[in-house]
Order: sequence, then structure tokens, then C-alpha cells
Amino acid sequence: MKNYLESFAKATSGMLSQIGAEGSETGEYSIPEDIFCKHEVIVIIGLTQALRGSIVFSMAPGTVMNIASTMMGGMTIVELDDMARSAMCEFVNMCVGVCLTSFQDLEVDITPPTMVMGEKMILMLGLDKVLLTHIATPWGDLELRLGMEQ
Amino acid sequence: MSSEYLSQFSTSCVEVMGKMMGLACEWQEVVPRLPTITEGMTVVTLIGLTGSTRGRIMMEMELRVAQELAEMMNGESLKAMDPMVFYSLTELSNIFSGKAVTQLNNRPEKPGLRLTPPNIFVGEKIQIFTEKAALSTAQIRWNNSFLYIHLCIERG
Amino acid sequence: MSLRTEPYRILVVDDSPFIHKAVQKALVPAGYEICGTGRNGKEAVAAYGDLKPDLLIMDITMPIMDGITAAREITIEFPEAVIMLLSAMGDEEIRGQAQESGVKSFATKPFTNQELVVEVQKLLCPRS
Repeated sequence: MKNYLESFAKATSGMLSQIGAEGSETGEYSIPEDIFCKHEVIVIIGLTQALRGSIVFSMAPGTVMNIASTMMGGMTIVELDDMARSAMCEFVNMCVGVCLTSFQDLEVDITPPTMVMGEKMILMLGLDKVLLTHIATPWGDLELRLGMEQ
Repeated sequence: MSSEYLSQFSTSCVEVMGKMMGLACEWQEVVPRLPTITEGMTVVTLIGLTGSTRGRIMMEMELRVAQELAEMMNGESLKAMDPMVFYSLTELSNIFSGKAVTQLNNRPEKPGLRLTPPNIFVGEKIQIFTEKAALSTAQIRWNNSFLYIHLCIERG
Repeated sequence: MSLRTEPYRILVVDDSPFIHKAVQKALVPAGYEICGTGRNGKEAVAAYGDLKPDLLIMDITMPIMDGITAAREITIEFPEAVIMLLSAMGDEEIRGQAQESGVKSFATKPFTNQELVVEVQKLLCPRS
């Protein structure tokens, strides 16, 4: 399972570089200590077929706005409007898509991304096996959580 | 198709709640609510749908309602944030979604729908955004309580 | 003819703690003993070998190893195994796979306590 999360993290770092965020660093891989989500924005994509589970990206609103701004050619974004949310969902979709391309011989179906925003959020992936890592980007922390049935 | 699917999921939810909790529920389609900001502590379960149709099925309810349902499912008192509340709701969403998908998959067109494992979010001021999806919402009512089922089907 | 005096022993395997509890609440008052629980197919295979229960009640969709695969492995080693598969999904494809795995019964969730007890009785005491 760590291999899969590493692949998602690598694809995400690669995508960040592509859009101009150089110098991202992926942290250690660990089992979440608790179910509290430290960020206010979550983007979740479900996985079925050969890999069944969910991949969850969480980040602060500021990180979303920065990523969205860069994806839209440096446009100034001052709030999490439709455009910013759409750009972020597309970013996550691309990261997951690139990652799945690297899983040769594995047929994986994915759901469209869903973005959830809230305060004091608790997140339960409904699976025993959950692993997480952080990617430190120039625009803030990105947390990746993978819950999988193997 | 969205309306048909919503009807199937809502009917399944009503049947399952009736069987598991002895609740006489009714459902009706309401104006799509997403991405309305929820008030107070809210529980949202989310299950992904893949196959010939891609999307998500969500149940949204106040934490108080989640606790009430879990207590009925378990036949005992539970604290609001007891993990068994969330395990129970996970199972409820799994069961009614599975029942609905079974019915849909047994149709002649055999859409081959599959579900992801359920996820649960709990928080305040929750807003849910879906991209490029046809949204529909049903309200399930019983006694003085209610919950919402949101169906988001990806537009082709 | 000797009457069985000990309760029938049932192993319950499901990734949902709620289902462990629900099955226990349905079957223990009816005189059955829950001799063990598990969270996935791999645990089911290991526990079956250790405990040799009278009945294994198992979910289909579970992490690590699903119920159908676990049922196949168990029935190869223990052809006399009595297995009931439980699932929220009951479409024709899944039922077909379940039948081929050698299980004796397939039940869909949700179930009432009474339904589960009746189904278990049919499997364990077919003549009663």
C-alpha cells in the first residue's frame, strides 16, 4: 500500500512542478494518528476495480487559491469561488490520472472528484488500511490520505 | 436517468430504514441543495459510483439525527461522537446503496455499477462541491427528523 | 440418538464492527455462541482453521481478501465447511460467483434478527 501512496505523491509532486511549484518535498508515510483533518478543504476521488478505496487530498484554502491561480496563468484569486474550486478539482483529477497511468496492468476506475469544505472536520475513510503523507509545497501543505482494500 | 436513480436510492433507503430500525419513512424529491452550507455539526457519508455511470451518493444529516439513527440500529444509547455512531451510518449507507445498485444492475441493460467503500465527514459549515455533475436531492422524513440523499451523476 | 447440548459455534467475519454487533445481538439470545470475529478474508481463513466453527457468516466485500475468495480457500481445505455469505450487493453476477465458491447460503443485508436466526437454523438444523 505504501507503494501506491508513493506513486500518488510522486504524481502530485510532478504535477506541481509542471505548474510551476518547484521544490516540493514529500514527508514520511504514516498511519493517521487520529481522524481529525487539520485542513478546511478536502478533495476526494473514489477508486474501484483492481484498487478499491479512496484517495483524499486536503489543504488550506490559501493553498487551493495559489494552485488555482497558477493553473489559470497567474490570475489573482481572492476567494474560493467556482473557478478556484474547479481548478483545484481538475488538479487533483490530473494527479490521480497521471498516477494511474503508471500502474501498468491494473484496471482502476475512478469517481469524479468531490470537494468538501468545512470547519472542525473529522474524516473517516471507512477502511482499516489508511496511510498518509504530506507534501510541503511553496504554497502550503498538501496532505494525501489513501484508504484501500488490497 | 438522474431522476430514476434518485428514486431507486431513495426507495432503497426508506426500505432499509424500515427494516433495520422499524421507521415509517417517506421520501420526496426536493430542490437540489448542494452546495448549501450546513448549519451546526453535520454528518455526511459519501459513496462513489463507477461503471457505466459515474458519480457519488451522499447522505447528509445533523449530528443529532446521526446519533438517533445509530441508537436505533444498535438498540442502545450512544454518545454523539461514539465511533459506533459512524460505523453504523457507514453500514447504513453501504446497505441502502448496495440494495439500490443491485436493483439497477439486475435491469436488462446491466449497467455494471460498482460502489467505493463509504467515507464519512463530520464538521461544521460543510459545503460539498461537485464538478460537471447533474445534482438531485431527496429528503427522507420520519417523525420529526429528516435526512437528505444527494445524488451527483457525472454529465457525459 | 444423542441431542447436542453445546451451543453451535459461529465465526463472524465482516469489516464492519456494526455487523459483528448486529449478528451477535440476533444470534446469542437464540442460543448460538459467537466463537470469533474477523475483519477480512485472510482473517477468516486463519480463524476457520483455528476455531473450526459450525458456521462461518462472512461479508463479501472486505479488504485484503474478499469473502468469495476466502470461501473458496476454506472449502478447498474443509469441504464440509458451512458458510453463509452476506452482502449489501446481490446482483446476479455476485450471486453467481458466491454459488461457485461453495457456500451454502447467500443473504442480503439488511436482515432482521428473526430472518438471520431462521436462515442459521436452516443451515445448522435442517431437519428441525
